[in-house]
Amino acid sequence: MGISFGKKKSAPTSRVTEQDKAILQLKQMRDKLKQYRNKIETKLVNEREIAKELVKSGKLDKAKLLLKKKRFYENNIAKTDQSLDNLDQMITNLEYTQIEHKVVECLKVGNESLKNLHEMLTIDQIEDIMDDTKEAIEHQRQIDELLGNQLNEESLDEINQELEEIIASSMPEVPTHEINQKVKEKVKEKETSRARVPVMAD
Amino acid sequence: MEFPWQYNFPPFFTLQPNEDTKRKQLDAWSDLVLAYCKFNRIFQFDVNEMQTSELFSNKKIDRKCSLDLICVIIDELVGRNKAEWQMHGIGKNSRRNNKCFIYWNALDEWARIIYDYVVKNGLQNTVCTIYELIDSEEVKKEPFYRLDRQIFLKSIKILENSRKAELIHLDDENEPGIKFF
Repeated sequence: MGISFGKKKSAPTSRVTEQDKAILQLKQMRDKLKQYRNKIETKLVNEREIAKELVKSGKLDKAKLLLKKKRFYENNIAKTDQSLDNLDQMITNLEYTQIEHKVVECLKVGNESLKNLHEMLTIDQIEDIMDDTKEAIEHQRQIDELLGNQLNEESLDEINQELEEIIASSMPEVPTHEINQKVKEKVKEKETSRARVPVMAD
Repeated sequence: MEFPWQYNFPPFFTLQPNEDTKRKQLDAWSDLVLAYCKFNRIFQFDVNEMQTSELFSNKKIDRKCSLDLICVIIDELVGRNKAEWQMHGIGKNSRRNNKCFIYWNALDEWARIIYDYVVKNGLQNTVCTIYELIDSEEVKKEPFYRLDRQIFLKSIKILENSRKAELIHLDDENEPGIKFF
């Protein structure tokens, strides 16, 4: 072929299976039957025309003979249709089974890899891992407990001390002597004069 | 089908010496040949036979293309991937004969059209016969219905090269089948 550019020799592996060939054979047979059917059908149409003309020209015997032949052909067509139907069914079955086969193969592969994955993790291994984990958790808990306890005893003392310090520094100094009478009265006067606020009459 | 105005213009049937004019003339002839063949679904022809057809001879103005001019037109189409000369013999001894393929769809276009149909109808991984793909009732409305078998096979070869199809030869008695991918 003149047009193809090089790379012709590298024949990749064929992807045609034996089943494909069987299907092709069936389809070729189907095509032949279809062609045969077409042939007979056109013949039928033609001979009907001829029969009409024979009747017109009064050759009834010949017309009758032709019609007899027509019956025969019609019978043939019915048989061909039956065979076509069978072939089609066979083709469909083969094609479907081929797909089914592929599905099963895929499932097999999936199952296999699932199995492999499972094999990588045995129940013993998982139990070991779980035990290890449990131990580790327990270990951690003990550490937490120890650390927590130590912190509590030490810090409680410290906290109490700090609290006392704060309280002590924020309180006003308690007076050490008696408050004299004069100061007391002055304070009282101030309070009453503040309460008597003049109000404008309406 | 409608012919272009040049078809009724006598100089159109003689190769023009002026380069510019010649270019325009060959452009017009290329379009006309492709349109004519597409309209009449002609896939290949013999140059000698075609010379007397209405395509290359206009009786109204009593003009006819010379065989030389027809060959120039075909060569022009070959340059555009729209035609191919058929060969005699094999290898070095092969010679161009008088017949040519006309690809109003270039071969890779045919390949694409066929593969589009395959995908649309879910025919990947399915074995098909040539008859069912180009002759049967199912493809009556497809552009490749009754496509020339040689052109069809050339298009399938293109699909085969891109691993989208594989031809299956069972025996010499039957046509090959095709499995699409």
